[in-house]
Amino acid sequence: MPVTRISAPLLACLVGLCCAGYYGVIAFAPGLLSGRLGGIPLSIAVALALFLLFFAVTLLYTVTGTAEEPVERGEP
Amino acid sequence: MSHLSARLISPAGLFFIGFVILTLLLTACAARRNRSARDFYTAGGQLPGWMNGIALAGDYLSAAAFLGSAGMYLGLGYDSLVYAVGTLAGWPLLLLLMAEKLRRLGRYTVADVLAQRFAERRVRLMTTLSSLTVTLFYLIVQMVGAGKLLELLFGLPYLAAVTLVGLLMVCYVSLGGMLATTWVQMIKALLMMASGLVLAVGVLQRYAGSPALLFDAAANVAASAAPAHNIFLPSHALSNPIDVLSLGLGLTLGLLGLPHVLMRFLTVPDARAARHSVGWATGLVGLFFTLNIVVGYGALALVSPNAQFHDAAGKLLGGSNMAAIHLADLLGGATLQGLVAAVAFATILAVVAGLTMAGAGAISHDLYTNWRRNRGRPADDRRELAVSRWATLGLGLAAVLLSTWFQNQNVAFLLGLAFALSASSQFPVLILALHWRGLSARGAWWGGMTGILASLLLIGTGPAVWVGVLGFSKPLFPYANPALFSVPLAFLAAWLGSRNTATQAAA
Repeated sequence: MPVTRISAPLLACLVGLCCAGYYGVIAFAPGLLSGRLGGIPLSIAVALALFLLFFAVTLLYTVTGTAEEPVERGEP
Repeated sequence: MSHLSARLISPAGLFFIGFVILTLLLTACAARRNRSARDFYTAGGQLPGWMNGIALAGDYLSAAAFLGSAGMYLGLGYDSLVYAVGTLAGWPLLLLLMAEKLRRLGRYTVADVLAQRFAERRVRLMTTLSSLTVTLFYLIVQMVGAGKLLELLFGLPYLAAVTLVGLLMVCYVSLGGMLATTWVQMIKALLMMASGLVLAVGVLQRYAGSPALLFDAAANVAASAAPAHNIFLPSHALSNPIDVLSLGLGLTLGLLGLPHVLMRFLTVPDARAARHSVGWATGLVGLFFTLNIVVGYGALALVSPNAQFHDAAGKLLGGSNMAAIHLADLLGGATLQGLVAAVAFATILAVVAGLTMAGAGAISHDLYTNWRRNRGRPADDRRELAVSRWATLGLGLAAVLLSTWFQNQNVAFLLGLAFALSASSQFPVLILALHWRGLSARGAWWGGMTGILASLLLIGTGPAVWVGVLGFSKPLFPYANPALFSVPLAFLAAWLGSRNTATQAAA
């Protein structure tokens, strides 16, 4: 149970940092993304790797999520 | 008129009419199930996670994701993928920071979440105002896509095309409520995935199933047109580092403030279903963005050098947003073009319906019902639903008229502005309300209003409106996206407002 509780902020930081890193490279050193990786442009491979990371983080949290606390839906 | 009739009998027309009839039948069916305001706004709050997840993906994958994205690959290459990374990053953040809490605290709308903490009327007013602003801007984006699509397919004038979309939207929402909207979203999301898959497979078949050969072909075509531009790196449009960071911030955080997306977490029974919704949505959106890479570079390699899709001046017929439609024509003739166009239209209708649902809820539930309560009158479901239906009509009209200003801009770019608005106005207050006990009502008010005003001011004086709409030669605010300035300003104002409250309380 505590796994998700502890990891949610960490996972959010991981996603945020990866995203910041990507946009940082696009902004200040886009040339780092030139070249190829197995025939695929490196820039596209990096974007696909980020897609995979975002999905993996979502899946991890979805699968290992905690049970809902017994809190009633609020009245406005 | 006979010209229009002939076009309606084409494959595109038949698919289009079929989809409209199917969705109107679904709407009629959903209308019979709506018995209370809760049914109308949140489909009874009992949707399973997978169903809500597919509908969430449907809500999110808009005209910009389908039409704008392919158009941007064709015109600017890699820039389209830069947009996709930021928008997809918002999904895990939405799950980790907000989804479960929203489900626990909300009732019908986002303003209900803040009402749990702050009883002050001005906080609800501010949330409603920011919801409506974001919804209206987002609606404009969809209307531009719809208008251009119908203009190209059936030769309808732009205003007639967006009016037709507006009328259908009013039918879906005012009659069927959230349940009809959810069903339409699900059908549309699945159709969109299928057409993305068909287009991607069709493109890859032309290159022996090899993405590497496709990328080589796209690079060769682009090199012959503009030798200096590497289509696998950001274009000149993303050459300013401040613009890039601002765009990234707006795209990543914008999802966390979109009212029609947040409202979906109120349609599921518990936090577990809320989590599952995001899992499904992230998978589907990520898959579609991946297919879009093939579709987009395919359009660049195949449509770009083909004269039949360009006018005498060398411009793409129907504008850059029509690249995917031309690609479908090239790959599968009129039938595939008709199918893809109908799916694109379905996409727009469904997103517009979801947006209007959120906007109508903000007006009828947040403004009208609370105005009644403040005058000592009890809430009245029947009156509230009537107001909601009128609000739907009003929003439709406003979106139709405002969209005429932006009809010549790329919808993916306009979406970036809608996300920036959302990231600046809704997100800061919501995230602080959910996670920071120190936020006061004054802080929420200051933060929300600062976010709305700053983002609107910077968009209004930036290149999109100041130059693109108002026709001035140079913008007052030089950056295309305001998020890097307006988001921190909103947080700062929220903190100052809360600090000010604490200081007064201590004194």
